[in-house]
Amino acid sequence: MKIVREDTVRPNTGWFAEVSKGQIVRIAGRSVIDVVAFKRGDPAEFFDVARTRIYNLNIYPTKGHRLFSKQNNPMMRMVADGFAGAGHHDLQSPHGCPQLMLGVLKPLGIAAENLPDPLGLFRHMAIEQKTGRMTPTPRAIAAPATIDLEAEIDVVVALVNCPDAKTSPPGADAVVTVLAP
Amino acid sequence: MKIIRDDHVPANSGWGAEMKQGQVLRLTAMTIIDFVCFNSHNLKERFDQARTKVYNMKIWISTGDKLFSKLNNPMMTILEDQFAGKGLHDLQYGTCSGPRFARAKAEGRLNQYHHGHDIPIPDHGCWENLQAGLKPWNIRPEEIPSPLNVFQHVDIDTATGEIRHSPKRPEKPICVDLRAEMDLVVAASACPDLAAPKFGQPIQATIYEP
Repeated sequence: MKIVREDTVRPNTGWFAEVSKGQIVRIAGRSVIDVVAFKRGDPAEFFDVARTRIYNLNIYPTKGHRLFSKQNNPMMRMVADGFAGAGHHDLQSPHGCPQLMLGVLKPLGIAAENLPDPLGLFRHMAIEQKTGRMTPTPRAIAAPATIDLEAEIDVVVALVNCPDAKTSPPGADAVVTVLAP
Repeated sequence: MKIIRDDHVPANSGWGAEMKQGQVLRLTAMTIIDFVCFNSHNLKERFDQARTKVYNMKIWISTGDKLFSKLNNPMMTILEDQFAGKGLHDLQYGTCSGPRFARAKAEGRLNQYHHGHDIPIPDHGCWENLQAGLKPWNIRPEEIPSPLNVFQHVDIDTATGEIRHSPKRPEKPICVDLRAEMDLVVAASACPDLAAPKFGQPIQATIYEP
């Protein structure tokens, strides 16, 4: 595949790009990265954690799962999950860095109350079977793990590198690459 | 206690009302109720599943737990939960809807989400019902948050993350009482509940002053 762009996203900074159908967003990181997506040209259609959980019938997104919109349409598909086996990504928590994300989303003019809950990459949340108790449980990995998200429609993708001592291994640079077929 | 209003909500339809801080909403049913709430002085402030789960630090809530808004304010407190010990309320599902049923059917997955391939598929569900219930307040469909799904017992394997629908529901109508911690617009859908043994039943929505 051809590299369309490649950016280093330092801890406590964000990234925003238009991604066309068929392109892949490759995210290589080690600390928590919150991701949201909007349908290009219509930000009222946005990534939705509940639709995503129920379409996949799983609370931990991984390879093969699709990211769904509030309007019940597929937006992206996770085609690689280098974190699998080390930990789970999270679909339960709100944003760790909401102000940072709102800043990144400035081109779309998203208000705080309309900020969709994120796909929390690398935010391993231990959930107790009997009580449902949630305990953030950072999983350190030696080398950056790679997550590939393939766009199923034209989308706008925003992410923030949002390390937090409670939820994440120490902050590390993330590298975000957009690949075209 | 003083009854402010007491409404019968037919199966697969929606309901909405305003209530004051301190008043209590009693939801009575034996099948799923999709429930949402909004700050009546700022309708952009809505119930939020994620804030609610993280505030309570658990994925299932019951008596004593609070419902939180996206803007991090307590909206309601669960005063009574007659389903406790028998089943769990859900904070994973969004709303069912006509398009959602159609997609499941087209993909041949009705059996994964509900309990049979040969069940009648309604043309609308909780998303449309909540839109109808909220019509007086001009809430757009995408502004309806993912709900607290009362009486929606779901089996979740927290090791693998797998979600499996369950027919476990109250054996007869029982109630959940929620106290308003701010002035609210509240809305409920009597879910068509295609996973329940006899599908969705009517619900009763009662607002009272304790």
